[in-house]
Amino acid sequence: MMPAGASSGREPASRDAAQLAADRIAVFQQELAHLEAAGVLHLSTEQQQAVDKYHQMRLEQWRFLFDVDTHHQDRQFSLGMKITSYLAALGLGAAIFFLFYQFWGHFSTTWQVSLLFTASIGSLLACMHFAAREQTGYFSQLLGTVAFVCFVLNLVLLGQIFNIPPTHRVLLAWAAFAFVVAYATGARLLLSVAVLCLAGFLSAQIGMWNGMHWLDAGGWPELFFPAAALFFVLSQLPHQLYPAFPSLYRIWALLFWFLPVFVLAHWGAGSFLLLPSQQVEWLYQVAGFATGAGVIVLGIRRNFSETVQIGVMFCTVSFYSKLYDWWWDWMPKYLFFFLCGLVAILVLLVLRRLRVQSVQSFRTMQRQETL
Amino acid sequence: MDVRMRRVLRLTAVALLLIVTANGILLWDVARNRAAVPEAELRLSEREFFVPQLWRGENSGRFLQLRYQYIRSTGDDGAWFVNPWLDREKLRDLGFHLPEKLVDTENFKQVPRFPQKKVFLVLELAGPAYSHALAQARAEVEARRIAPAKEGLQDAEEHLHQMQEKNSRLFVVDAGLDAEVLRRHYPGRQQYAIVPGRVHIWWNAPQQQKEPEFYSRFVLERERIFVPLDFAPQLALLKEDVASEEQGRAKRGAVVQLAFGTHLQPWIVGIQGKQ
Repeated sequence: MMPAGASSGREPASRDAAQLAADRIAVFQQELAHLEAAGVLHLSTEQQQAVDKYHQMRLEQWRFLFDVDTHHQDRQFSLGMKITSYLAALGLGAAIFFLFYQFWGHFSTTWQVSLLFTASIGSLLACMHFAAREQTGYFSQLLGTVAFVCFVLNLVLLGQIFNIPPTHRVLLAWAAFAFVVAYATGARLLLSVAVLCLAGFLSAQIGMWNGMHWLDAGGWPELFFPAAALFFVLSQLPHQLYPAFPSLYRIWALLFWFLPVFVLAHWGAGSFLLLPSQQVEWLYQVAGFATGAGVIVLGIRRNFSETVQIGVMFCTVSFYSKLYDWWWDWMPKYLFFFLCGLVAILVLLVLRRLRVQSVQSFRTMQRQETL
Repeated sequence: MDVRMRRVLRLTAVALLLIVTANGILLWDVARNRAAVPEAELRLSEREFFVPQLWRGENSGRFLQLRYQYIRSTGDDGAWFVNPWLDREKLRDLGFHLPEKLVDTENFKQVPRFPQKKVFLVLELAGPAYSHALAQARAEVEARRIAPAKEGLQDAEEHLHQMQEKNSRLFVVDAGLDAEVLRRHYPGRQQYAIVPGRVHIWWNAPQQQKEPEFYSRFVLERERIFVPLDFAPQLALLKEDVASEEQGRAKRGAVVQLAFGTHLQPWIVGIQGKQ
């Protein structure tokens, strides 16, 4: 039963959103206590009671609807349960995988097909049963992983039983299944798996359109650029019910861009471009630094912290790999690492300068808005 | 029914449809593959397959793995090379645009790289390729015998014995992009099987004033054939046969009837032990 006096208002639509809101209340209460202790702000008794009552009502409502963590100890337990849930999912998935292989040979073909089909359906229904009822999502996500493993086994073993040549289309089927289960359970692990399967399918399909065998697609890094573009577009779509998903899409989009760029910056022969290897490498080095800088700027402007971090990481690793290419062979090692350290300090100074400028421009903007 | 329940029900329906559709497509494809008269049917002896070891006994599945050979030939310098039929013209037919000479590679990449391609391979059983390989082995023995030092004669005789008694009689003799065209060239359905595979071409770094050398490798898409439960007793006898041979006792041998359907997917029709 809902707590008395509960109002809908602009309610969080998912557990993640409710947890964020609950965390904001906790931070607000801590800061308010600090301001009162410092003598900066003092609420009257009526105001304090009104705020406390409002927050208490909302927290109780979210605990009822979404089972959010409202205390530090709750969060510790939740983190432990989340890790345990991942381990359980991996363990159960591996157990089912090996269980099938241990006993499948003892069944006739009809029984094998029936068991594989039934396992896929049964595990999916179990997962969705919990997804519809469970607030926290631990068991639904665990069973979602099991359901995905069963579906993978379903198609792999059917292919082996009937001697069907491996095809890239199974990646599309697995991706679609993983997406559906991820959106039903809110499981980030399954979303990542779905992203990987879809990227594999896209690269294989584009490779095949270019006349290559699909298994060879992994050796041509440029085939992953369309996947990067697709996942970046997906990250821009509204995800009110899944606030953690856009960040995940961005992370994978950036990885599917920067990792191939990094590889091609050092291995020009892996490119489709009809240019000498060295020119290809130079081209991708420039493209990598340019897009790295652009990604950092975009991340700062749009408040995408993971975007900024990946951009910084890529630029740093690329820069150090260039230093290695230029200096390692002929420079004494102590001098090489000393210069690397100096370069890092220089970058630190530049970033600090940029940060100061950013804060100043933000304050200027605030003053203009006030006026 | 609340919003979340409705959403989960919709997603469940989609996932169920996915499972049913994926299984349905696979099984329908299998049914169509086996519905008509087999595209080819080969009678393989124990020389053309072996029983692979799987996961130290934790995989109860039963498989037979095909063993096949490539045609070998000697060049002008006496060195051996495989697939002499895979020349520039054939590679061009398979879609590999090869640089001609060093001058081409100066404006191109230093070492051109080719992706693997899907092709159809022609497997020939106990045909001209096997006869030619036997003849090569006999000629090698004769050449060693008449040589003054007789160096390598024992190895050559052992190789001939292996070719006569143990080595696979299944050879990859051709490749193409169109299975029907290949079948028209190789009409014998008891001797030739057209199977899907892939070809990998790679190059030696070109030297000054020398044409680039290329190497090739073919892989069958399905080399490992599943053995249904119906044939488990026969497979057990095959494994005993292998153990007998390892202990120095005579092998009985076996014959496996392998059919290839309209979609070129193989399946085992029968396994019989030889008397």
